[in-house]
Amino acid sequence: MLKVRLRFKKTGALVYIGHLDVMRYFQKLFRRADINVAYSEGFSPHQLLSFTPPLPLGMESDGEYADVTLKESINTKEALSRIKNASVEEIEVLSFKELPEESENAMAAVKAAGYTVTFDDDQTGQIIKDAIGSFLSKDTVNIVKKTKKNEKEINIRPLVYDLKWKYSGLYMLVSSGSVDNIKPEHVISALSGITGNVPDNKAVTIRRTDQYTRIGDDLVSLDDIGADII
Amino acid sequence: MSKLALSKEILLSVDKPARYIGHEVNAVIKDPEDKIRFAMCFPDLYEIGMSHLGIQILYDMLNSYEDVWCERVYSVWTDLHTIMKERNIPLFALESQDEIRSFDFLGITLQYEMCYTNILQILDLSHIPFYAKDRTEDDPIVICGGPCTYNPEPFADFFDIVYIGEGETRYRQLLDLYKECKNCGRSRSEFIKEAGKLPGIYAPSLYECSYNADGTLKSFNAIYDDVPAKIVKEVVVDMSDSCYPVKPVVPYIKATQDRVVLEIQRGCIRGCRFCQAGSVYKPIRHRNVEKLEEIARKMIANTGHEEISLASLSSSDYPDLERICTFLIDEFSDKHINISLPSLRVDAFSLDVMSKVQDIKKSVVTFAPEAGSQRMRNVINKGLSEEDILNGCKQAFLGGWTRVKLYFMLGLPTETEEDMEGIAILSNEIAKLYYDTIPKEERKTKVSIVSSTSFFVPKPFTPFQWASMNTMDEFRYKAHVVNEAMRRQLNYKSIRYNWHSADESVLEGVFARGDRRLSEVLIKAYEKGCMFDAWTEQFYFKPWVEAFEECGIDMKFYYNRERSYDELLPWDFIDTGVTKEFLKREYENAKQAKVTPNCREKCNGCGAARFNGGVCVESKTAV
Repeated sequence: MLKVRLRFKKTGALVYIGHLDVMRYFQKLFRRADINVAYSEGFSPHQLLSFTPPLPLGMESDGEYADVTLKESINTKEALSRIKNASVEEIEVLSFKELPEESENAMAAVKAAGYTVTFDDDQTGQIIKDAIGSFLSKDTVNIVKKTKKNEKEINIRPLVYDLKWKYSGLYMLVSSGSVDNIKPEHVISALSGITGNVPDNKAVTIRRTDQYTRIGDDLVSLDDIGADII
Repeated sequence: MSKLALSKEILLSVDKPARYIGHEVNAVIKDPEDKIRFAMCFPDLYEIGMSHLGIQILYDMLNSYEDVWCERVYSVWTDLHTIMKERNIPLFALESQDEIRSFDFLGITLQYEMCYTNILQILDLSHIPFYAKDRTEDDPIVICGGPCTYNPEPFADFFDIVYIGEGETRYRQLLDLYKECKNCGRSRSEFIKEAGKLPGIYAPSLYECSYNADGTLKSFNAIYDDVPAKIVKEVVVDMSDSCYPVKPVVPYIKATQDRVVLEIQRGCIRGCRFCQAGSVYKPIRHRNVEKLEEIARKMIANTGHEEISLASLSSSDYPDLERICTFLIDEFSDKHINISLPSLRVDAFSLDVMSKVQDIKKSVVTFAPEAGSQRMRNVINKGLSEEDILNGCKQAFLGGWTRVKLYFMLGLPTETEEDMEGIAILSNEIAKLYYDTIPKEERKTKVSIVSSTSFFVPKPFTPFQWASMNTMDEFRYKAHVVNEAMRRQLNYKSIRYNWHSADESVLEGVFARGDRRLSEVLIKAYEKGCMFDAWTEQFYFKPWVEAFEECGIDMKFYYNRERSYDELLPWDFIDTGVTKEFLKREYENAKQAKVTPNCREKCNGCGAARFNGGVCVESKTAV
């Protein structure tokens, strides 16, 4: 038994496939690719498979992760080639690495995520771009976070680790995961709150670039935890 | 980014956008250049349509032709329907996301009567006129197939051509004819007329009908001399030789039947007198078991599905049942692939197999006695005795099962109160049998009997095609009789009783034996918002009643009226092989509660032997 981490992209039309459907897609993908996945015990055994937190419907990503336990090893090159042959284009598996023993699972490991945001019209983009400096100069930027039950005000400023204008779009690196989860929309609304102009949510395209875990003081891509199987 | 017909804003505002995007594993993408474009439609939600084997077979077959690109299209749910109507967005096919109206063919499969208004939704959203007569050279040829085409008259006006019988046999010829007509610059109507001369193809516009003063059909004739007066159904003679989709499309969202389906045989040897499928798919033909094993392996490898299931009307009659079951268990059970075996008669063998493939605690033993008394079961020729049922249950209880499901019908011809009460008595007998069979100290749980009744709907090409169907009040009364009888049973606390809605059944009854005059009602009902009538939460009876009233059509004329043997029936121009003489004989046998043996026991001369296939050939060589 060994634990393997896959990094995959989710793009194009497949942004309309929900998280549960992505899970089902991978279960079937492993069977088609003849990857020997381990199953749980009990009356209804299921594949030992876990994912990073759900990607919102409609969002593209270059950095989604699935951890899977294998019954027998397979080298990375062979696995990637078999997976490619059994895949659809718009869910592209980029890496297949063995995880060190006792490493945290993908879901629990996530501490930060990177996003790029592009704006359908240049004017809105400009407004956001102009607000970056002011946002970064503050110690406190409060936003109202809505949960299913209530609303609460939180200071997102310490949870935004990086914020810059890059290639005609906004790049942000923010806290993510089970504690202090920040959505890119929070940052966009904070930025537009600074200027008083609120862009239409549908006029932006958000893409997750990668997800990171914390090792000491550093944020490390989830992709850099394991190693190729040779 | 790949092309999608709907904008991001729309896709993110509707329920399950994955229904509308295509891009699935094994979906076929071709270069549209010089292709005949075929849009294959199942007029219900994606999850339902994707579960249908017939479409998978035809999709695979049509795409195996180099000059054809077959794509899929399904009904759109009411949320998207509203948006598409408001913004005038045309309906599109999943693969290319191109407009349906630009296709050469729109093919619609009709599997149940309650989907008829969905045909209109598809045409409406595609911007294709409802009536075939109003279409122009710019519209696709609209064709339909499936079991409902055994009485195509209620929707005949909506289709350019109707394919009668099994789809595997005649499409190549039809498409060749289409190409030829196109190359010669011939018109749509010329193609339709030529198509109407092909075997199995019915072009409604080439026939006209007239009616008697009492509303019954007076005449039904071909307008031209060179168009056949009778259409013989198409039959796949050799099932082992016919095409089978080993690389079916794998949906992202969970389809109703999210699994590999192995069609082991087509047709049925049992002559249940209420069953249309048993009649129109005669003779029974089976697929070679080695071929099935090969198909099963390929399909699992190509789809990655975690379940495999057998499909047939009665799996227990498959000659190599034991071998195929053993194969499935040996090949797949240690690969974590679930095996599902529906339509198995409950006996020692099937219980043994089921105990190997299912968790007994969770699984249910199912019987379809269809009627509560032995007399009634003889009337419908259901070859299942009380002894069979009780023996099966006893073995199941001893094997650890505690849940039994029973299916019955109410409103069968000649039914008496005794027959209705028989449903409750039989349910009670089974519960009692559990307590008699399993000693108190070994009982881990209470026995659970779930009895359901549906209302009998007479269907064309069955011996009951002449019979009267009960009115809604009669149905409600009968359900009440059964319910009261249930309460009187000693073990009623172990029994649950469910019954179907009577108004849906009545509507099904109207359309099952309807004629061309009903197309107007369908359009009226659709305009009033009737769609997805097969979905209980979407079904509203009131607009239907209004639609019938506005058209001046009496529902009872169609569902409640007993027909005489000499009445010209709207579907009489179709020849299913089974003769009218045989059906009359069987109706008479029914009235006397006389049983007819099954096709393997004895040939009853139904007429299907003319197809020279399956059991008809088998029994002759066996003698």
